[in-house]
Amino acid sequence: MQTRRDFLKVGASSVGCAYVAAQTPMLFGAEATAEPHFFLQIIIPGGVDPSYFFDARPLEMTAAKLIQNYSGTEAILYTGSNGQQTWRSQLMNPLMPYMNKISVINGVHMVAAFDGHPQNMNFLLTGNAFGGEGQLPHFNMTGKKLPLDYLEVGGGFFGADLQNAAGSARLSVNAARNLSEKFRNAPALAAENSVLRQMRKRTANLQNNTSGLAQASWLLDQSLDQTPQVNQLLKNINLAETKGAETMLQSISMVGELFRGGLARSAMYVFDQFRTGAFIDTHSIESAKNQPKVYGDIANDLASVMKHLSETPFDDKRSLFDVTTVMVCSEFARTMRQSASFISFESTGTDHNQYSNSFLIGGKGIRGGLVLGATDMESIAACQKEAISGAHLAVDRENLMAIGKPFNVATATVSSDRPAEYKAEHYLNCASVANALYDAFGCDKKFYRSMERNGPPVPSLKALLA
Amino acid sequence: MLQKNFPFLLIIVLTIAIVACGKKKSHDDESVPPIALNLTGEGANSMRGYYAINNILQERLLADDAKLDLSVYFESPTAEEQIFGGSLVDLLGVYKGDGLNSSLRGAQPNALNMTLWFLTLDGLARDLTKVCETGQAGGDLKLNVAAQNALRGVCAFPEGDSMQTATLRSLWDAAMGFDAPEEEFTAWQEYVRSEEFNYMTAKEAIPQMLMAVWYSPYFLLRN
Repeated sequence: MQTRRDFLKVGASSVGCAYVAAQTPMLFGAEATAEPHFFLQIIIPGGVDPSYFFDARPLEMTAAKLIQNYSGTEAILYTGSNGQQTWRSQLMNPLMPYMNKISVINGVHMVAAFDGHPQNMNFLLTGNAFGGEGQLPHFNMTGKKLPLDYLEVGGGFFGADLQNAAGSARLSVNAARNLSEKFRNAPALAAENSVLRQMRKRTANLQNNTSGLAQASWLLDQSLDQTPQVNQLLKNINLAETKGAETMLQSISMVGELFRGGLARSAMYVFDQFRTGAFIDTHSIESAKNQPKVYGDIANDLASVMKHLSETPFDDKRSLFDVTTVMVCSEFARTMRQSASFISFESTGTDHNQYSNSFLIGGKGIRGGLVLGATDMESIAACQKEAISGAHLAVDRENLMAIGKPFNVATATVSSDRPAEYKAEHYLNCASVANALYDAFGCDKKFYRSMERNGPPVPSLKALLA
Repeated sequence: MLQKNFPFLLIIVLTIAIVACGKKKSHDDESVPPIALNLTGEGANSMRGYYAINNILQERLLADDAKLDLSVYFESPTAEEQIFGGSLVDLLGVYKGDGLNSSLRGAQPNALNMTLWFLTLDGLARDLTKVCETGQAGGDLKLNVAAQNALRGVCAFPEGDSMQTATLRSLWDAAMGFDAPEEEFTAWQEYVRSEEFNYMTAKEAIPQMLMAVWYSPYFLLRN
C-alpha cells in the first residue's frame, strides 16, 4: 500500500514515465491490430468486502448489528448513469473523479457449490471451479498475436490452475530494468542475424511435417519475426528504480510502456497482501478492524492507476485508458458478519460469500458510469425474514450474506422476484460478465462460458458494452 | 529340451529386452519435472523451460561433479531483488504453482524469451570457445572429456580436420545429443560449411556453430 509520500514520489516519476512514453517509438503495437485493444485485470485475492467498495450499507444496519462497518462512516447513495442506485463507502472517494468511465457490477454470483478461494478464483479466471483455460490468452487470439499473451505483475498469489499460461510472463519492474540493461550492453539482435536465419529454415521445415513440434515451431517462427523489435523495445524502456516492494503504480507504469510497445495483449496485476500486510480475508477481528486502512489504500492505488492510464498517451490521439479495458475483481465477496453462535457482533470478522461479487470495469469497449446488479438485505427492512427469498434462505440460513438479487441479463435489470428455490440461472453470473469481455474483444464464440459442461453459453452482459 | 523350447525362450528374452529398453529414461526425460504429467494442453506448444535446458546442458557438457548455472549469463540479482522480485529466470519457462496445482509459465515461444535465450546461450557458447584459447572453458566451467575433445576438434577452424564430418559430428553430439534426426545434422553441417563462415576466426565461428545447434526447435522445444 502507498503512503501519501510514496504516492507523490511515484506520481512525479510517472509524469517522467509519461514523457518518456510519449518519446518512445511504438515498435509494432500499431501494426499488431488496426484498433489496439489491451486488457488490464487487477485482482485483489482473498475476497473483497464490497461494503467497503460500491455495495455498502447504511450505518443504521451496523447499529442494528446486521453488518460490520469498522470505518464508522456513513455510506453514500451512488446513482449510475442508468438510474440504478447502490450505496458506496466513503473510502472510495479517491475513485469518484473516474467513475464516469467505470461501471460498477454488484451481486455477481460465483460458483454456488464451493465457498473456497481456489475454486472461486478458478471460476473467475477460467469459468471452471477446478481450473482450465484462462480468459486472458484468448484475448490474444484475435487479430495479430502479440508476443506475450499476458504479463503477470504485482507479485501476489492467486492460486488458480491456469492451463494455458505458457504464453505469459511474470515480470517485476526490477526484472524489466535488469533485462533492459542486459540488452543495452549486448550486441544488437538483428533480423539478418545468421543464427536466426538458420533457425527459420529449420522451423519452416518442421511446420511442413506432421510431427508434434509443428505447432510450437510455428510459434518459434512468429517469435523470431518479433525478436529484433522486442530487443529494441527493451533496450529503450525507461523504468524508475524501485526500492523495496514495487508499488502498484510502478507496476502499471511498466505495463503501460509494454502495451505501447506491443509486447503483450493483457496484464494481470495481483495484489500481494502478504508483502503489504493488507489482508482482506478478514476472518479475524484484527484484520477486520484494519479494513478501513486497507480499502482506503486500495482506493488510492486504484485512483493513481486510473490517473496514470488517463493521462499517459498511447499515441497522439489516445490515452492508455482509451485502448485498455480495465477490470478490478476478486474471487468472491464477504458475509456481512460472522455467525452469532461463533462470535459476538462486537468482535466479528467476515467469511466467504460466493453468492455475491463486485467488479469495477471500464475503458475500451465498456460503457462507463453504470450500476448493474444489486444485492439483497440492503436495509433493515430487507433483512426481515419475510422479506428474504426462499432461495436466499436455502443457501444462507442465518442471513449472514447479502446475495445477488435475481437479474435479467437481456434487459440488464434487477428483478424484484423472490424465487423459492436457488437456481443459478436466475442471477447475474460471473460467466455473463466474462462473455461480455469476449464480446468486447471480438473473440471466437467457442470460448464463451456456460453454466454446465457442454451446455450453451450463458447470455453476455451486453449492457456493459459501449 | 532347450532346443525344443528355443523359439519360446527367444520370444521371452526379446520381450524382456524391449520392455526394459522402453522403460529406460533418457537424461532429458528426467530433467522435466514429473508434475508435467498432470498437466494438459501446454506440452505441445512449449519450450522445455529454464531448468530442463540447464540440466540437459550440464549433463552433456560438464564433468560429473560440476554444476551449470545459466542464469549467470543474464542476471546477477541483488539480495533485494531476490526478496522482492527481479529474477529473469521466470521468463524462460518455470513451473509455478501453489503446491496442489502447477503449470509451466513463460515457456511458450515468444519474442521475449527467445531474445533472452539468445543472450544466455550466446554467453555459454563464448565461454566454451575459450577452450581453444586457454585450454579451459571460461566461467569456471569444468567440461567433461567428450565435450572438451569435441571443442578442441574445431579449434583449428577452418584448417586441419576441423570441418571433417567426424569432427563436426562430435561437436553436434556433444551439444545436441540425440534430440534431433539425422537430417538436422546434415542441415547444420551444410550451414557451418557455407560461405556464412568464410573469413571467420575460430573465436567467431565456434560460438555461432554452437548457437546453430541450440537455436533449433529440437533442442529448445518439449518433444
